[in-house]
Amino acid sequence: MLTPTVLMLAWEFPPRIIGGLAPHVYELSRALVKKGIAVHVATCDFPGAEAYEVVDGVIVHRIDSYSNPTPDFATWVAMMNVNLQREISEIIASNDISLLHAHDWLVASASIGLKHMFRIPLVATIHSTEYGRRSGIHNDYQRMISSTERWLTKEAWRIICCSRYMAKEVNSTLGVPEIRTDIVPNGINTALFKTQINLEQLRSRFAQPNERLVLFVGRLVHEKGVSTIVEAAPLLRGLNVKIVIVGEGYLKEELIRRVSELGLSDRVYVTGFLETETIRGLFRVADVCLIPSIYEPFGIVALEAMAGGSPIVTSGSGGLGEILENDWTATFVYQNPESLAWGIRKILNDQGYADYLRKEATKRVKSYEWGAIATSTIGTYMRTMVEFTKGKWKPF
Amino acid sequence: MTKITPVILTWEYPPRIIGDLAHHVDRLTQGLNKAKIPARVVTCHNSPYLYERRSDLLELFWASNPVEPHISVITWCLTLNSEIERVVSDIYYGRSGEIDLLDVHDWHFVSAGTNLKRALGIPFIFTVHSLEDQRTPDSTSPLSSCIKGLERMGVNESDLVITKSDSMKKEIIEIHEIPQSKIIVAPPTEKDWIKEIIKSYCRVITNKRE
Repeated sequence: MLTPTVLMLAWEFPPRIIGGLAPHVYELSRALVKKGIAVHVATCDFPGAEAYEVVDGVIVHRIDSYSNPTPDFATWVAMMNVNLQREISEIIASNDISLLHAHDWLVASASIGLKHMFRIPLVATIHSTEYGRRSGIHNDYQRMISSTERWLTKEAWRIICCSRYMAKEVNSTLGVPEIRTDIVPNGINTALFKTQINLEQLRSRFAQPNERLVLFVGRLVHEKGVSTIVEAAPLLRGLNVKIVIVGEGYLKEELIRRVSELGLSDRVYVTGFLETETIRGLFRVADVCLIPSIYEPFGIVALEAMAGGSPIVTSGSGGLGEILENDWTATFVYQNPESLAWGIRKILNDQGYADYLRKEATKRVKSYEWGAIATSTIGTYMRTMVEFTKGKWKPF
Repeated sequence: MTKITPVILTWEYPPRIIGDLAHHVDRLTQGLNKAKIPARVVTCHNSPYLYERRSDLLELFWASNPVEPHISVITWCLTLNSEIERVVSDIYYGRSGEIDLLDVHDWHFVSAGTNLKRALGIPFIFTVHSLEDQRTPDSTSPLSSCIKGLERMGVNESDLVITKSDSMKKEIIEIHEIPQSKIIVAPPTEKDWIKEIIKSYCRVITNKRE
């Protein structure tokens, strides 16, 4: 039987949400179940969450993830893998699991051990690399994580990357031949952007009715290019804009200081963390959404802006250049304040152009619905199962 | 005598000699071989995976760490455990499941022993040479706590614990609160030491078969 029963390993799954991996695994696993694939998810425990539950057909196993103190994060990851692997052995044995799907290096050790003991194939999704996250490898800690990523990709039958850009990075930094890589983009649930909320009331929390709302959503870190936005703000004089910067990160205090230094505190609002519902609403009321990233393996924020109907100005870096197209679904600019300001003016000064971008982006984003992403993922599973069935590496 | 095919997991074996463990396991394999019991030792070495047949009754499987470098003994040891699992699984599937038991020496490969038992149903013996509580008395460091956690796993998950002395047995019972019947003492200085080990192996295999 080629249709596999899948066990996904992920260190986060709702309600435990650390980054983008949890919503990804949540949406993908549910979409796979809708397509007829039996999916188990093995993940870390979370206070108040059930150790075993069925979420829209997905069987979720939350396992004690080692709560004693550890000297550092990587040592905790190692101990967490020990606990995961010990419990998953019984889940595999009692549920006839025929394929493992690992998400990122954090579950590498458990996934690889299980693969060999049960002789079932392993697929890995590499969401980002240590090299990309750190703009290079600078110390032994990062080298160890990168080496773990290399080990996982070597052991995995096939590797899923979210963009061609990411596949190239996996190829160049981890040595994975492109022939073993499948490009499956991240997905989006556009229905979540259509819920009934009072948009006028929401907008009034961030901007005056006569102000044009310019939005940035993302981590406040160097690779997101957020500093460029603050430097572009003085170049927008004459336009009645309110720039709303949403997110947390190590650059937050520096950004606030710089905004004050430029005398733009009434024009630029650094909000910090906001609830997901509020952010989705902001994408719907924003006049422009800025994505000036320097490093972006995929750029899920682009899908969110498209789903929310906010016209996009972007650097088009990394995966963004594969999701968006200039003057069709976004305005592409260079990574400097002058060019970014030019892009913002272009959209705000031409309502017809803005509406065109909005309309085309709303059409385009439909191809990123989770159903389509699940179909592509099943393609990877089936290819793996066909190759596995033909091979000699099998249990008794 | 019951046919026995044990696999011994140890993080040191000659020529890799870190402490006394290498010599102990060497004496153990010699003793088993003398009793016509084949010994397969799965251990680690800083080179690609190698196989060595030292005699008709002694096979060595050298595993190297798939991840380099490391930041702590825990990360080093636990990634190596997955490789140990791979090597033992290859023996298991390559030889029609012909592994009767695992003899895991000290905490380093307890995770592999536990997982192989759970996944493949191979019983495992945990041979305790020393405890973290003795090596680093009064230590409450996070690293020490991880090692103690792995020792606890070994004691709880194994089918039988073997140790070297009555005082060590007493200490294991006190720390880990396990029944006396789960621990046997086999002092390597005694003449019949190897007989005691073989008897323990047989006991575990018989229990499994029953």
